Amino acid sequence: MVRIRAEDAFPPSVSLAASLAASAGNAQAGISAVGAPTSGRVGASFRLHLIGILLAALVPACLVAGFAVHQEVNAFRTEWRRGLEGSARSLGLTLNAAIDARIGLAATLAAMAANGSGPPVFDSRLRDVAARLGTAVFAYGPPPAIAPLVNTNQPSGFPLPLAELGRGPTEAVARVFGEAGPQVGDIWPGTSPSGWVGAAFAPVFRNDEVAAAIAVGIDMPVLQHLLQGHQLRPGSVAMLVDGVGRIVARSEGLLLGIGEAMPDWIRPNLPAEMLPARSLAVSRPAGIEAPDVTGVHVAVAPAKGMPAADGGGLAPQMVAVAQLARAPGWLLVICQPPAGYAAAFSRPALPLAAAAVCSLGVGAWLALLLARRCLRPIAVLTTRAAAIAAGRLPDPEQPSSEVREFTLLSMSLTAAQAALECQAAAAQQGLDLLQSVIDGTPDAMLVQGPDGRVVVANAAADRAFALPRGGLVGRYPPALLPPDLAVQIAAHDAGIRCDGGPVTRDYRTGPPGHRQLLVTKAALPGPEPGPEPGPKSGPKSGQVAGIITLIQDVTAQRRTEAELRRAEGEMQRLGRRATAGAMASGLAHELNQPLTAATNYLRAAERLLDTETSPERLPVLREAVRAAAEQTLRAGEIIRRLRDFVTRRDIAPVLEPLAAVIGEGVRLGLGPLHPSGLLFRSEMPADLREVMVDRLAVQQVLVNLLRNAVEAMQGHDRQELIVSAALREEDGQRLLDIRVADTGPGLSREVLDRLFEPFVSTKPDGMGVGLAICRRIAESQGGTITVAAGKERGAVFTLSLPLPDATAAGRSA
Amino acid sequence: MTTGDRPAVPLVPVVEDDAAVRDSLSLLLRAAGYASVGFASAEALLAGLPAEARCLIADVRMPGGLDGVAMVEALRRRGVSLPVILVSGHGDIPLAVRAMKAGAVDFIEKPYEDTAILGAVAAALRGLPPAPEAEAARQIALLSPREREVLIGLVAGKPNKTIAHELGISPRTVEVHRAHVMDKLGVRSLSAAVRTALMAGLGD
Repeated sequence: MVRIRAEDAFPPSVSLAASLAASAGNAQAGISAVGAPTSGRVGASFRLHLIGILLAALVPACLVAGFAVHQEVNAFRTEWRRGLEGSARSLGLTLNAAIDARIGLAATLAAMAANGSGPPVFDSRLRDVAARLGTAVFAYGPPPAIAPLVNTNQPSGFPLPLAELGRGPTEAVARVFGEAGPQVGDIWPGTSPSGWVGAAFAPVFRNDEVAAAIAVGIDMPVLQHLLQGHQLRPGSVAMLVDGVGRIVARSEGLLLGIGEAMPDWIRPNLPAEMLPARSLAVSRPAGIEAPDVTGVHVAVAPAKGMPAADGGGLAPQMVAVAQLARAPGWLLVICQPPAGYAAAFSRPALPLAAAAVCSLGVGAWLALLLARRCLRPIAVLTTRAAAIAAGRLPDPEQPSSEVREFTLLSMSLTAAQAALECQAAAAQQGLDLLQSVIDGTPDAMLVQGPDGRVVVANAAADRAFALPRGGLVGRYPPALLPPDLAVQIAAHDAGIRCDGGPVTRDYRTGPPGHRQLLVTKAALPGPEPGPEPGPKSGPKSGQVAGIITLIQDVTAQRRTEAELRRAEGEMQRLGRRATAGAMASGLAHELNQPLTAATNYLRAAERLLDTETSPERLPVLREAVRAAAEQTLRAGEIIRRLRDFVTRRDIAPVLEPLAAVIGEGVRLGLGPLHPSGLLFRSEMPADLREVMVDRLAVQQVLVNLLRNAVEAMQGHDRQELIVSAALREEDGQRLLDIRVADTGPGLSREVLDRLFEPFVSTKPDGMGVGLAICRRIAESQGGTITVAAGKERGAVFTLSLPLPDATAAGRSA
Repeated sequence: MTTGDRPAVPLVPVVEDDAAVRDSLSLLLRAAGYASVGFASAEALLAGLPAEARCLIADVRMPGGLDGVAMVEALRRRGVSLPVILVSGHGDIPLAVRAMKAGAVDFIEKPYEDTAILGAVAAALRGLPPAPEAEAARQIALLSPREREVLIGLVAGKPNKTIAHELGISPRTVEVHRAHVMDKLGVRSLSAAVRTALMAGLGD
């Protein structure tokens, strides 16, 4: 992730900081000071992760504990309900048995009555039984009268009070006659001091018809004793109610009396089949055969209040109801107050919950303790890493931690810091070296960032902008320039940003100074496109990351060049004059010939005229004068040639006799210098008579070459000079080669290479212009001039001139 | 050519590569009463030197062969002591010095007056040097020491500037001295002054 490239112009700490900052995430250390962009998402903090780990461990534990408590409570609740239900069932069975006994007694008495005699006997037997059992026995006639036949509570023989129809025993008697079976009747207010009376009824059959109904009183105190004798849970109450909901018997805690109605809120909480649906006026359709309690129901009733002794309050009640099989419609009701119910399952659940909470607390405390041991070194390490990333290298202290990995990490960080310092030092050394090299260059050099501001500048650049050392960094160079120059530079920059460059342009500064600057600009390419995405705000790949500028002050160089050009022109002029001078010397010699001849002729003529005037001498005289005139014209012709040569114009090549052109050139060149011992030879191809050349150009070159050759051979034993011409073809182009070969000392290798450059000379007093001029002349004709070593010794100069096609016409046999 | 049998008419051959100059000089010599024959080159003359020739006029520069000075040297080596007058169109001092040392009796620059060349021929035919050595020595003795030095420089073929530099005087002064030398020696050309100086043994 940390990339330090040697070619990076930026200090490595910057990119390092950027990448470390990205990895350090949202550590609170002041990484933002670096301003480096972070890459990717940062992620949640370690603290958050620890909390997550704790939660992941605690939540299942809590769930398991809660489930256990819930199961436990459920078990207690079920057990409680079972207890309540069993209580109701056993008490119901007891009461059922007691009532069943009376039903059996009534049935026995009824059987006795059917076999027995008339009423008086029957009456007395019934009284005996009643007296023995300690209860009342009644007999009733058939409906609708339902006349009381026997009432052991009344003295024998007295008229019996009529029972009120539809109330008291009459309802049960009607059922006995209707159903021809034993019945249990609802209680009615009796005349006895004991108050309410209940009875079991049995039919008396005569001739298979129900003749009467025998009723045996139910022992109400026994029922009361049975009910009160049953061990109930504290606070609970129990009551036995008849088919119309009157209380037959009750436990001690109940504040309602015998004969009072059962509380109204119980009835809605009972299932429909358990409801005492039978009213006193309605007879039951069928008897109940089941010997037991037919059903027990337990329900929690809403807070309606229970008139209990302990003031059961308005809390919800748990109610258990049992049906009595031998007394259809009768119900045993046991009510459990909520306090007991809650206490029943809260007692085991509470310590369990407390233990769970305690263990949770201890676990959390331990977790916090361990988390602190982890979090503190992490914060320290993060801060240190961020500081290293930011380039502030902290003291390499070793913060000890009880966690081994953190200690190792801290040691690694220290090692990494040392390595970084080492690397940074090396990089700084490289940068210093680079900077010194950059500073050492005499040309101004600067690098602009993407925003155009200077990032790097060398000392020469600071000097060029007349700023103190380092003053250019951070500034925008065009802002420091005069407006017209700034516009040009900005356009230059824009061009570089478009196509990269490098582009070199000339600039001329205004007064003072009038410097001529050669400014080269090139783009620094952006980072290579890689797999890892670069920082968002950084230069995208393919874009220009900056511009590098090189400014050369070429004022002196340009001035030298201009002077050189001027000197070259001057040299050419001088050379022309030198050549012309040399030729003039040769021409003067040639001019002497016709002048001498003309003078001789005329003087001879003069002498002839003085001495002899004979007519036979006249032809001689005439011949002498004609020859003098001819020689004068010859002199004029020579002068015309000289003038042509000196005032040389650009003359188009014309068809010229090659031998004459070369011969005249040789004469001009050798004229004044023809030393004794010089062997001159001219070799002309026989088939080359006329060629298309610029005569003066050829002669000018020849004069120079011949003069050089003669001067080179001066003082040598063997002096041979050969001028030859030849025709050759090269790349479809016909060329005329004119060679000048000498037997001088030749030319050394280094001189050969530079011979045609101006001011290169092998002569002690030579200016070195002649051959340079020859080359220019050759090139102006589209030709070349070359030099090579001679066969045995000396040098061979070759002037090659291209021949137009027209030459072919002039080339005749 | 037409006067070969009469010894009274001396034969003066002309060696000259230029036909016009050769013909005209021959005509002039004949008009002056001499016999003349022309040769186009030194080689031609050496091949067929007429026995009756009394004097020679030769051009110094003749391309393609021996020049006049070499021809004089060749003649001297053959033992021919014929007086030779050398003519040059390019009369510079070194050449004149060379010619005089080779044994030419006179050295004349082209173009020349007819009297000059005919006088030289006459002098040669008389067997007299154009300026006797004693006379030359007398004339040289008239020169001041500085003028002598200037003349020595001139005979050595040095340009005015070099002489001025060596003597520590200005070139203008050299010119003045040079004019005085020409005046005192009674010569009109530099080559004549050099000839006088050589006769007086100044250049040796």
